[in-house]
Amino acid sequence: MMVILVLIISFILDSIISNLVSINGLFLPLFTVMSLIIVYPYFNNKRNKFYLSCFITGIFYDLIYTNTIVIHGFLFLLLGFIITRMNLLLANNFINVVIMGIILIVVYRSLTYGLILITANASFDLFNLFRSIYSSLIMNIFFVSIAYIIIDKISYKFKIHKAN
Amino acid sequence: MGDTMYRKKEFDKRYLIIIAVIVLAIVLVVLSVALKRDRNLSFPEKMIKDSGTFIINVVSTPVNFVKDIIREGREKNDIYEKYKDLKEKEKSMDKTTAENDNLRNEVDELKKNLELETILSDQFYKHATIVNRNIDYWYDEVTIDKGKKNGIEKDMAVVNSYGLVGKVSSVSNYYSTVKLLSNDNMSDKISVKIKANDTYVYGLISKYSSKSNTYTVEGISENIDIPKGSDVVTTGMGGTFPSGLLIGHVTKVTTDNFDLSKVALVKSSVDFDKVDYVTILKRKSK
Repeated sequence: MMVILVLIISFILDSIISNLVSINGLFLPLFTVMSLIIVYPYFNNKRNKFYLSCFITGIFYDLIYTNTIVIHGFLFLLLGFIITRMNLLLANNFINVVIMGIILIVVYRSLTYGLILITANASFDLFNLFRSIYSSLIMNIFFVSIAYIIIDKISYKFKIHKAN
Repeated sequence: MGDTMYRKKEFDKRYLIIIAVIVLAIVLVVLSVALKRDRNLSFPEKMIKDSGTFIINVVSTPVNFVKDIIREGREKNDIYEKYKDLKEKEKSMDKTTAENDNLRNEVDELKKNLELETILSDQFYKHATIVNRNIDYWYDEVTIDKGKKNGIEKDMAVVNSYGLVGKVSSVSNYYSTVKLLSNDNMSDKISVKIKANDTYVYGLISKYSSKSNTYTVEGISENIDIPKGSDVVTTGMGGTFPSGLLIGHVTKVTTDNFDLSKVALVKSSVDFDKVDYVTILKRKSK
């Protein structure tokens, strides 16, 4: 239940914050992507369920935000796979969540850039890719840090088990 | 026996390469279709987009309310400056209104005489509020709270009180997606005219720089001096935008690499960070 709530709130926050920040500024939100890192430990190693949640979240991202067909479904699935691999290597603590957040932003932006480049849907140079990465870092690292602390406290209070 | 096996292996290898190429081609085709944004949405897509965006819109209402209050507060700070500015403009208002009425009558007369039903500047209006902005980063798109049921159609021009903002790229029943002119990849070049003293020179917008909020207008072949600050407006040619929509003002004029035509840098009249409310225009001449 908490996992679904976190995903929904992050999804809606993506839209709300996008309305408050500069369109080409340094605070671009990617909260839905970040929320995948936060919720993973609460699946308690039930990876298939986690992958399914990633895919469904991606599909909604496609339908409501980007008008694309299943692209984000598969992208989020891949990000989910990367999150599970990273969690095998790194313990789930504040610092590592921030590191995972940075890696995920770089991977997500590079993948979408690569897809646009391959399909020649538009032409962007490498500077655009760098700009997309650094303009997403500040806001999302802030979000993932705050969200980690809050969710950790809530799960402790309500005795919700999470895998470390 | 060994020879046959070797041939089979070679055949399998070639077979695999062909399959790999076909799969790669299919994947590329599927990707290019899946990534196409200005396509017509299917019924289930429209339904999910409408209900999802409605929920987001309801949840973000208090935030937008607070945002509007803060903005109003900021505007109140320089209310005296605005009052002085408006007082100045008021003096010339009667004259401009009279001139405008006169010109409108002349246009109506000419339309009657030439038996024209519509002209390039004729348009319908529909106001809308922006629900979310550029979530996917790459395409500079915003979602507005008007859709097919409100009479919105694909490719309609979108403006605000400062000038041209973009065009509608896809439509669901109650919401639409608008592609902003600030998009680095404007696939369709926009035909514009620049007012140089008493005459107009024509050109095409080729790119936009988000850093300086300027457009580059290329292909100006006329050998006329273009003064700094000249208005740049749409020509109405090309089918999408009605004529006379303000794009911006000229800041610099240079020549192209071959010295054949002029290139103008145009400061956008719209601040894309502050676009919250827009008006959708529909050309009557379609």
